[in-house]
Amino acid sequence: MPEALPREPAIRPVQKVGTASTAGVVLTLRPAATILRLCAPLDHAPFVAALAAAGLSLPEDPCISEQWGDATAFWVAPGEWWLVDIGATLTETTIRADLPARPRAIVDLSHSRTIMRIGGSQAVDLVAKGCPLDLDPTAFPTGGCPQSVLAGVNLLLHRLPANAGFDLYVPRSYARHLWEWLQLAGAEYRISVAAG
Amino acid sequence: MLLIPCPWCGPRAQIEFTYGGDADVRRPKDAMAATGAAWHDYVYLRDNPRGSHDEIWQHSAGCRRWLRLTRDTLTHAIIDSAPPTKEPPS
Ligand SMILES: [Zn+2]
Repeated sequence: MPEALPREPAIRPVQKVGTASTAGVVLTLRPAATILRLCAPLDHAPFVAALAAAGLSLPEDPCISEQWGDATAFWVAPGEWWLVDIGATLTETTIRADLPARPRAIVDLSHSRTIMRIGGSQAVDLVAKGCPLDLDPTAFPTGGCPQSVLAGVNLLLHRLPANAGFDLYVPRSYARHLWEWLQLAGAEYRISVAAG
Repeated sequence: MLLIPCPWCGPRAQIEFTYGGDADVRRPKDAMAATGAAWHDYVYLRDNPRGSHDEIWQHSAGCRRWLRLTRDTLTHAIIDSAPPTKEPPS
């Protein structure tokens, strides 16, 4: 396997200080994470069982995530998941070792996404301005991870526990556009930008 | 704007989907033997029914799966939404 290149942020945010106490929305750039796409489209039962035996249970219900310590497993399609690890202990090599050889595909998407966090009391209002999802907790509960559109960008949204807002998994080349849109659309909520 | 029920993700806005056309268009079985008229029919000619219509759509901004949608072209009512059949219908 080739040596992995260091992860460079897609954008370098400028901190807006002194507004956080009154801000309705707090925007933070998240550290780069390991993102592995697991795919077993035909028969994923052996795949799910092998990972469960290794202590990693994959969510079987659509658009729902499962937390494993620092790592999260997102359902993204039938027979397809993302494993996201902030601590970078999951790697393609370790996951590969735990899985039956076929049929499956494992792709490292780490460099392809920029992760942004929208928190604050008006985070839902900001997302609602640009996203057609039903954001009511009955339709989009904590831990939910639907893919949708925000301000014209296809992305995955992860609703965080304890009303902490959303993590957005943004295709890297759209990161600047979305970052700027969030600040423009969030101006009426006195958005604060944290350094992250 | 349609609210399209994805068989996996549930009801989603039409902007998350890509239209894939009439679900019942069939490619000529023997490509070399098919007449020009048969190819013309396959590529260009479509029925334009008033009422129930079977269509394929892709949940392109969501789970990216193809689905088969039955929709009323007059009232925009969604009649059925299902995963695509495994075998191409003959
Ligand atoms: Zn879907």
